[in-house]
Parts: sequence; C-alpha cells; structure tokens
Amino acid sequence: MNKTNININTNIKSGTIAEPSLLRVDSLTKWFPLRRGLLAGRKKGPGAYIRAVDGVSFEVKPGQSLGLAGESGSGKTVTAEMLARLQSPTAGTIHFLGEDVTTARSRDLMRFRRQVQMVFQNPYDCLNERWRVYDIVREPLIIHRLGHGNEHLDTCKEMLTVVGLQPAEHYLYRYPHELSGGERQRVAIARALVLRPALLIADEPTTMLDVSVRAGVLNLFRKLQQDLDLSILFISHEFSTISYICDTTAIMYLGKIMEIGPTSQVFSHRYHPYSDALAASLPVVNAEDKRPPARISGEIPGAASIPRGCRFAPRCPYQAPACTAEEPPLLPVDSSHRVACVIWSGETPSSEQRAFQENVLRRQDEEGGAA
Amino acid sequence: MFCKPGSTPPGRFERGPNTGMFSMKDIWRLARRDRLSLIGFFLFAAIIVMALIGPSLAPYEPLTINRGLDGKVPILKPPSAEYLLGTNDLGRDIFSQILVGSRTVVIIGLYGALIAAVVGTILGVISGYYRGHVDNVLQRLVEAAYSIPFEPLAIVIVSILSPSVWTIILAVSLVYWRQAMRVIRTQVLSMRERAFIKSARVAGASDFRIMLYHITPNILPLTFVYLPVAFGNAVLAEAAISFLGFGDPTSISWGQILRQAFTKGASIQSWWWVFSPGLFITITTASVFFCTRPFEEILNPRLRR
Amino acid sequence: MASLVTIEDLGVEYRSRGEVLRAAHNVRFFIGEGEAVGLVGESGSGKSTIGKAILRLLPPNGRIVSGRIMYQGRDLAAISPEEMRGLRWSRIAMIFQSSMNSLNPVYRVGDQIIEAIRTHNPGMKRAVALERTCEVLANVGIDPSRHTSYPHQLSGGMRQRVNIAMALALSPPLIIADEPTTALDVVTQDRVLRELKLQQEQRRISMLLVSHDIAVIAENCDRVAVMYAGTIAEFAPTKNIFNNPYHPYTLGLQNAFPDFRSHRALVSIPGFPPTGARSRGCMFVQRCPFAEELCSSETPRPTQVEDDHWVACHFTQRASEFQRLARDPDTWLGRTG
Repeated sequence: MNKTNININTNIKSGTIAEPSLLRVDSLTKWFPLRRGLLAGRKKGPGAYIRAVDGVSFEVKPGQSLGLAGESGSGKTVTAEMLARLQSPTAGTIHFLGEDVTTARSRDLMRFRRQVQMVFQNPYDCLNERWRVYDIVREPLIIHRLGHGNEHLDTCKEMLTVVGLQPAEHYLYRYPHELSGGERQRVAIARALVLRPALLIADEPTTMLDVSVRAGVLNLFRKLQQDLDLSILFISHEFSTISYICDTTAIMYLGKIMEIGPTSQVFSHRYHPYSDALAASLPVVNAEDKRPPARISGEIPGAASIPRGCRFAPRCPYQAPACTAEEPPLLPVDSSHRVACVIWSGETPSSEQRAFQENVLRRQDEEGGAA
Repeated sequence: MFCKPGSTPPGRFERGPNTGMFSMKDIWRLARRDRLSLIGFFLFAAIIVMALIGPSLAPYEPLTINRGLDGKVPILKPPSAEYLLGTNDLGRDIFSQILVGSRTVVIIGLYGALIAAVVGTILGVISGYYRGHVDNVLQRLVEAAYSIPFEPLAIVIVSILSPSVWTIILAVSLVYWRQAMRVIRTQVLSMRERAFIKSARVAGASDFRIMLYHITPNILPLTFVYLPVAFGNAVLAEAAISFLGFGDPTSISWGQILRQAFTKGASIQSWWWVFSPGLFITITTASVFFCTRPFEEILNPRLRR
Repeated sequence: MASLVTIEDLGVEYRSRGEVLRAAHNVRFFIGEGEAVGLVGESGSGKSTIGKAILRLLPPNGRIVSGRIMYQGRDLAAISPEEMRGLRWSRIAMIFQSSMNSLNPVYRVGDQIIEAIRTHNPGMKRAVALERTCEVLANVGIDPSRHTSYPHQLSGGMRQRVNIAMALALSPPLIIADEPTTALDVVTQDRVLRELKLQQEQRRISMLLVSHDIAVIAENCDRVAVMYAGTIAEFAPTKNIFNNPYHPYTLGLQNAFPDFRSHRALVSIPGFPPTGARSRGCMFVQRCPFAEELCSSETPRPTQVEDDHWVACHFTQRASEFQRLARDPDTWLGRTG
C-alpha cells in the first residue's frame, strides 16, 4: 500500500508557518436562523439563531488524529459536516494544506474532496441499498476519473482487503443487505479510502456497532493510522473510543471547545470542570468502590439559548461571579494544552475553585510520579 | 463503556437492515397480504389483456349497422346470445364497441399515467434535492396545477389543438403530475439527509449524478406504486372529456359510448347502453385503486405517523 | 436468598414470512428478592425478548413456546391475558427505552401517574393519589410541583424519571427495565441510573436490568446473565462474571471492551453474532477459539460450576486455561467467522 500520494511540502504555499498543518480551522461558526412561523419572518436579536457551532478553532498535523468529544447537542457533527464541506459555515475559515477551502468550488473543491473523506454513524444508512459492494467502493474513482475498469477491480479488492473484508472476491458482488453492521461499516471505510485521502472524518463510526465487532473496527482505524499515515478526525461522545484512536482531544460543549490537548492529558488531568464531570459520569466495569456522583447540575440547554459568559457556568459546581461576566477564552495551561475556564485564567479563584485546581494538579503529579 | 445516544443498534432480526426505504420486494409483499389488492391486480391485468386482444375478438364491426337474418336492423335490442351487451339506436353491437373502446381507454390511461409519473418523479426529485429557490418555484407550480380544474383545462386544450387521443393524453399529464411530484418530493427531502447521499456528496458526486444514480433508483418503487393511481385518474379524465363531447371523434371510447347513450336519451328502457360502459369504467378505476390500497400510507405522507 | 422470579427453560419464537426464529432457547435464571439482575448481550441476542416475555408483551408474531416463568407462585407464561393485565404495574412495573416518548402528550405528567395509581386502587381518593404521586416524583429527583407539567415541558432525562416514578408508584415487587437510559447523554444517564438504583435498593424491589452496556450492568446489578444468540452463556454474581468468567464469550467480551482509564489493546471476537439460536450445538461455536467437535454436535447444558454460578459450556473444567489464553490477542486472531 502506498502512502498518501500527495507531497505535503509542494502543496504548501510559500510563506506559511514552519510546521505544516494538514487542517487548520479558525473560528468556525454555524448559526441556523430560527424561523418563527410563516408570516412572522425571521426573528431579530441574539435569540434569533441556533448557535450550533460558535467559533471553533483547532489544527490537525499530518498523520495526527484529533478527537472531538461531547454530548449530543455540542455541535460536533455540524463541525464535521462543515469540514467535509457538506454544510457551509456562517463564519470562520478552513485551511487544508495551507489553502483556504472554506468556499472552494468546482475544481478546487474536487481536489479537496480527494484528500478529505468521511464515514458516518449509521452503517444501515450509509450505503446505497441498490448497489453492490464493488459499485459502492468504486464510485469515487469514477467520479474523479481515476484509472480504468480493470484497475478499479484491483483497487477495490485491495481496499476491501485493507479494511479486513477477506477474501475480497467474497464481498465484491454482494448487496449491503447481505452484510452485517460491522461489515457494512468496513465497506463504508473502504469507499472512503479508495481515493487515498490524507484526512478521514469519522462521525461516531462505532457507536451503532456491537461490542464484539466494535473492537475490530477500532483496531482497523489504528491500523490505517499506522499503515497509511492517515489522519483521522474522530467524533464521538465516548471517551473510551476517542482515547483509543486519537493523539489530541477536544471537549466540546454547546458549540465551543472547552478543553483541547493531548488525549492522555485531557482525560487524566481534566482541567475543565465539564471534562471532569463527563469523565466522572462514566460507569466503570470493575469498580473497587462505589463511584461518587459527578458534580454537575441540570441538562445541556438548547443551542438557541446559550447562557451569558461561560456557557457551562449554570451547570458548573465551581461557578463564581466572574464566570457569567465574560466568556473565558481558550488559554494555554501548558505548551500543548488549552482550557477555557476562569479557574485557570482568573486572577482570584474562589476557595471552591482553588480546591478544584489543587485536585487537578494532584492528579497531574500522581501521573508524573507513576510515569 | 459503550452507551450511545438515540437507539440501540438495529438487531438484524428486530428491525430489518433496510431502514426507511422500501423496495420492489416490499411492494409484492404488501400486495400479497391484502386480498382486495390481489383481486385488483388481476382485474387490472384483465383490462390490459382486453385492450391488447379485445378488438380482434370483437364479434361485429363496432360502427357497422348490423342487420339480422330477417334483414331488419336490431335497434336497441337488450343483451342476448347474439348481442352480448345489446345494441344501440343504430343497431351497433355495444359489446364490440366496449372491446374496441378499451384500447383507447388503456392507451390514454397508460400514456397519461406514464408521462404524469415520469414528469412528477423528475420534478419531485429536483425539487426535493435542491430545496431553496428551485423548490419554491416548483412548489408554486404544483399549487397552480392543483388549482386548475381538469375539465375546463381539457376543453381549452382540445379547442386550441385538435380533439385527438394525444391531446387528451397531454391534458391528463398536465394535470396529474402534481400528485406524484408531491409524494416523491417529500420522500426525496428526507432521503437527501441520509448518510449515503452525504457520502456521495463527500465523494465529489455531482448533483446530477446523485439524483440519477442515488436518489432515483431508491425512489422508483414509489413511482411504480403511483402509476396505477395515475392510470385510474387518466381513465376517469378521459371518460369525462369524451362524455362532454371533446373526445377524439375518430376512435371509440367508453366515455363516448356513454355520451351517445346520454344524447340519444337512453334511459331505463335501454339500460344496457348506459350500464355497460359505466360498469367497465368502474371496474377499471376500482381495480387500480384496489391495487394501491396497501400502499396508501406510502402515497399519502400525511397518514404516516 | 429466596428467589422472586424463576425462569425455567424458556423458549420464545418469532415467525415472519414463513420463517421461524428462535429468539430465546432454554433460558434459565432467577431474580432474587430485592436483587438487581443484569441481562447483557448484543443486538439480536434476545435480551429484550426475555423482558418482553416476562411482561407478556411480545409482538404479535412472537410467542412463548416452552418453559415457565414462575413469579409469586404463578406461571406468567401460562396465565390468562386478563390476569396478566392485572399484574402489570401493580406487581410488575416496566421502564423501556421508548417510555421516554410514550407519555401521553396531552395530559399532565402528574395526572398520568394518578391515573395509573387509581386504576389499580379503585377506591382511592384523588387527593391521596396526588400525595403519593408527589412523593414518588420527589423520590426520583423531580420537584413535586412539576406534576402539573406536560411531557414536552420536560427534558428527556426528566421524562425518563417520570417513567421511573410511575413504575414505583404502585410499589411493585419487580421492575423490568429495558435499556432505560440508552437514549440519554452520559451525564443524565448516570444520574437517572443512580436514582433508579437508590429506589430499588431502598424499597428492596427486584429488578431485571436489560442493557447492551456491560459497565452499566456491572455498576448496578448483583447478578449478571450474559446472553448470546438466544441462550444464557453464563449466569453468575457480578463479581464472578468480571473476575472469574468461565465462558469463552464472556472472556472475549472483556478484551473487546474499550475503557478510557486503561491503555490496553482491544481484541475483537472474530466473526459476527448469529441471528437467533442454532438448532444443534453451542451457539458460540463459530466464533470460539477453543471450540472442538463436541461443541458443534451437542448443545451444552448450563452447569453449576460454583455456588450461584452457571455456565453453558462443555469445557468448564478448562476455565483457568481459557482465562490465561484469552488474554493473548493471538488466541482470537486467525479464525474467521
């Protein structure tokens, strides 16, 4: 299997930063206007929009994988669809290999599509039921006019083998309804990979699979990262799958990134009270003692009514007056780790906040000691 | 942990893998479950066969003035072994007229339905796929089509063009594409949000390609289900136009037989003259509506959930 | 411990398009008094079927073909539908994943609970029922004043809590909870489960918790029945299932399970779960790395390996060897389903 067939350096326009980024997203925003009925027209003012994604910035380096974690309603799927150019952003930019692709059209868009592919959540929905596996996997090659018929056959066989559908001949001429969920998801991955993209966007690709099958698909993603040097933007509400796949993790809440950093750090240190609450809510298989309840109140509000200041403040156990005054920016806590919380940027933390701070630092020390 | 939002993974036997879509197989399965629809299928098939071979089986020339052995013209004879459905005021055999007329009816029904279904499908797919302005314009067009009463439109068209079978087909398809379009548009609107369509867009497929290769094959069964409905509408429409006297004067149809009977004042005394074409029109339309009974839910989105 | 529900050799079949599907076969386990039993399995394993069979709420094409469901001296599989109707809610309550959306949108949630209470206590005054309603709502963490809310005014988590309140309202000895929190977010799921668990323990209610999520089962249940292809592969106290599993399927599941707290590599079980039960042999034979000839010719009967620990495997005496081998990923590779 060849590595991705693009030379990264030649694609970078002169004058860009030293370390090339595969994907760079700046203040990506998607607001959906709220319509209020036939004659009323569009509502005006701040409540007039559903702020699904509200200014998200991050970067993916070649060969690296980023995880977007968050509850439903956090805007992670809308972000993914904007990156895949399925939805157009309200504001913000997407740079791919140094090139602005936010509004790329025709030729430029096709060039982008060859590099960025996507797999979806529901394996029972992502394949055209009337097509055979061969036609499904081959279609991108036809669209991009790559190779001829007999070459397609070889490429498809190779792709099916890569995704673990062996022998490939056994699958080529079958219809999706003859396949199980795990097999279907592998076909979808083969289709996404047939163009040899540099970036694969995976939107909850394993959530609908059974446990015994899911591990296989997760291992496949790992294999693709290693063998093809593929970057994966992995979207999931599950910490466990993200931590298995991604180098970097961003925790999203109501359309904004709350914390972003190296996966192991994000999950073990948990600088943001929201990350901490999420992790504390996960059931444990082999718990020695009873897990204490997570310190978080209420439920995620709708994206049409985003609270003032820090959007997590109303549910936050460490809330202070400073939290509702102004939205805290995403600030670095160390070289590669950024957090949007006054606990880490504020001047004078409250005693509750200081306790949380100490807790995080203790976890960090323990980890340092263990390693 | 491995929980998920939404739902549990679809079990392979708890729910079929073919989510939300239905196929030709489902059509047959649904139809087979419903007795009445099976009867409808057979009746419909019988009408088609009648149109195919009926005219050559006609015992008499439909427009010939028959004479009995005694040389008398059999005027307004009730049904007998000789004249199965009786004769009209000119001694013509009504049974033969019905047989020959069936071909006109079926031609108008089939072509009318086909054109209406094809136009409706194409516009429905375009409207549902593009949404936005295109959809807006096409939706206004559908509303216009819904607001046009059929008979006056047909009369206008017939008087502008010449009264012929093709003119009637034109009139029928001009009005009846609206229903197919609406049903298909609704389906396409939800289908375009499905992952396999998104996957095609991400792969770089053009809008044309997506509509032709991804949406249409999945929507086609719906068009097929709609065909009989359009056929029934077309048959009724033809009968109405011909009855009003705007039919094709050179060919016989059931509507025309009815018209003649009506203008000649045939009533209780010569009931067979009115009854026979009426019965056949009823059988034909009823058969197609029986056929589609199991698909009511699919055709009428408002009945769903 | 006295058992409240005993399921003996239960068999359930579905018929569709002329085919018969054995959704449950030879299922036996019990639920002790005041105990929570977890029924865990993959989609299509028949776990929901068991819950529905106990409640006699199988879909029209499904029926109980064999076995008994003994509950308080009655065989639920044999009693009349009328008798069953009398038992539901008052003697056996239920919470489904879909219950969240099954509240009637045009009635206030309080009225719906009051209605349920008064149907089973015909003489009860409305005020008494209201008092009881507020009490159960408070128990599940809902402000009692919200009893005047309509379902659409409540979030998904709140609605599922209302359902739990409704299930508790008549103080039934048994609750069947089928994926009660699957549609909820992790934070909400955790809170709802905590309230359910607390009530179950305080009131000493027996509970059958059906879930695909092993971690949820592990935290909330005293015993676990692991289902595979319509049969119970292993039934044991929760501790045993996780620390001393005998069945190769249970062993395989442990490796397949991602956990963000650990960094071990995942190993999947080769192949795919079958749909429904085979007619002969062990259900897991096609995916089992330890399968031998005997496994495909003879159906293993549940054997008691320890106190309270049953395993449906021919080779229970080799469990420690299996446990050792199962930890090695190579054991699971190289076989295709």
